[in-house]
Amino acid sequence: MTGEQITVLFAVGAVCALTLLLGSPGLSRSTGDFFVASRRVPPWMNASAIAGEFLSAASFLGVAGLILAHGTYGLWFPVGYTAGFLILLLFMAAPLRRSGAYTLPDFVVLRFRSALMRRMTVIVVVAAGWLYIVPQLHGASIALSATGGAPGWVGPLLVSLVVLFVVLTGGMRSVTLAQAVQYWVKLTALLVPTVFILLQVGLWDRLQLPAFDGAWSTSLAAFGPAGEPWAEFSRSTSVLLALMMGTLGLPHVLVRFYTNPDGAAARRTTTVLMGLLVLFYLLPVVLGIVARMVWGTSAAAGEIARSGGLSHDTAILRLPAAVFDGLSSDLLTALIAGGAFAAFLSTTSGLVVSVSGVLSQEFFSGTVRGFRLGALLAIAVPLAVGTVTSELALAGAVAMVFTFTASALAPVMLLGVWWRGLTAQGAIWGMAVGAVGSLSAQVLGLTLGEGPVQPGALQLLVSPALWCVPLAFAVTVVVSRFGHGQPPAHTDAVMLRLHTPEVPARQDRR
Amino acid sequence: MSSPEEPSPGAWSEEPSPGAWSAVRGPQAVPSVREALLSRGQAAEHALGAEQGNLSRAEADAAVRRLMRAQLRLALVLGVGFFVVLVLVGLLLTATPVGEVLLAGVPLAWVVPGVGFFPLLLGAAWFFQRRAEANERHWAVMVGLIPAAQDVDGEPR
Repeated sequence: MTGEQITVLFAVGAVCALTLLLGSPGLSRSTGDFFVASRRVPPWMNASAIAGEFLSAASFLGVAGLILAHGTYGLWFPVGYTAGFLILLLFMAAPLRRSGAYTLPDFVVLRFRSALMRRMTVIVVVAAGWLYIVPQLHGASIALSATGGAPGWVGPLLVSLVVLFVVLTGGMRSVTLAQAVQYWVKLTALLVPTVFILLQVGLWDRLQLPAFDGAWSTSLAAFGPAGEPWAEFSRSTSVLLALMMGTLGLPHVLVRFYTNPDGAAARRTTTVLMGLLVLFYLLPVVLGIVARMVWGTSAAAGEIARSGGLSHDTAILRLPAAVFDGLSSDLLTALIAGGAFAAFLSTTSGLVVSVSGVLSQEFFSGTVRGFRLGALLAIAVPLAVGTVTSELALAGAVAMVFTFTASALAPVMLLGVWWRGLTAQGAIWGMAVGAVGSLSAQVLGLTLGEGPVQPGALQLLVSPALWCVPLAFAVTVVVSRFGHGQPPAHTDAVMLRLHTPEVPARQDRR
Repeated sequence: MSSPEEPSPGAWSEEPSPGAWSAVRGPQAVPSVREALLSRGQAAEHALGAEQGNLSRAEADAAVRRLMRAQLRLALVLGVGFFVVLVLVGLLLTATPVGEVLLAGVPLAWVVPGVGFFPLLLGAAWFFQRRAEANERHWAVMVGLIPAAQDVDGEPR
């Protein structure tokens, strides 16, 4: 066993132990505490917690990997992820908090009073959660086999067991602090290596890097020719639309908005959160560019291929070893691997909690046993799916989930909050068309062609957000307008509830 | 699955006989809108909001609708505006050689998406938060919840 493997396994073990400790029953709070605490949690703490849950394998490993493999295309992902929270801030943050709804199905029931609509939302939320967990487990697999030398099944199994333990013993979700800590762990785990790597390669003096100027060329010898510019443009725009709208339908993120004291605090939380995301995303962008400089030449491409059949998603895990020798390389690799595991664990546990909560309420009559059964299902299905699906790029796989939620959930949520004329019938049709359209297009696209870059029309199947999201909006509006359904009877009351600000504190009330 | 307008008591578990253990099931029906709307705390605040001012219920509702339109207009301008800027910049970098211009040795095609949009995003968020809160203060003055003196940067109408 090499020194690197030992330090990596040690760091991963430490992160798992920390997660177990923070999530253990002794330290986690009761539900009652959670609700009381929700009135005291300051916005920056809440923002750290949301960032801790949101920054997943796709952000931690995937962004730098995409920049290495596809150049400027990868740069649009951090912009899209952050812009998603701008849309959430603009249209949803305050009304969602004021609705008092804890989950997406709760919100849908409040707005539409339709059991069918609730059932459909549950299915979409559970499907999105499952699809989102798959790349987390895949990330755990490649991270641990690339650096720790473990077989591919060890990483997913480790993540599943830790998450199951934490969720089944009832911790984690209630501990805002635990998720907030995860953000700072991830930030440190990328910030320290970034600083050391930049100092070592002397970026500012342009020393010691084989391909400083080559890094900016659109294609790298190592990863095949670049796409045609217009296909590139359509692909970037489609991904941006998916990421911006898809954030509105992420169950594990929306749950967190309930812990804000009021609507105005929910807005402040989102603004702070965007600052935290920007702070984080500068790091994978820098590391991705450095990786291009290091492996930009074809000689280096052969080297990266030889060092263990790597996908570009493991690029930042290999970067310390390419720049440093000996112990410093081992330590930095271990730090990045530990941070990556923090990302897999926090995102997966957030998703498992929201999926199992929804599953147990809908299908197991909301009992504790149902919740545990739901948690088992929430992790077992992605584990099974992950072993049979081919290995997609992490950020690409997550973008597919965003496309799905952007088409299926975003139109219904946005119009539900802002348009009185929306009927349950329109919402049902919009959600069905968005869900079926986006899923079938992406599955068809993946079966017809390999990889995320396709010529011409096939590109519209691989990244369909550009037509899928407007289509779902149009169907929702047209069916509401011209269908025979009526807006729910309580629409006005619900609208007032969503949009009436909390009474501001005043000294002269008595 | 049925969804009665008002959940009947029978939708809950049977009353257990005294002293006996019995399984308790959660509510089996979707809560009514009235139940969902009247969560603790906020319901009281709402009643306060409607009655404390010198407005009738209908006037208070109309004021909330005006506020809602103002917030939606603000959100649409910023949200759609940002997406349009994104697309136009992407178009500019794709269709023209602007992307090859070097800024401190780095082509604009890398600088702009790499770091250029982040200040814009944070600025838009900060601006929205400020304007949205000002809109709400303005509403609170209109319905008589706070004295006009506190409406420092509310939009005059």
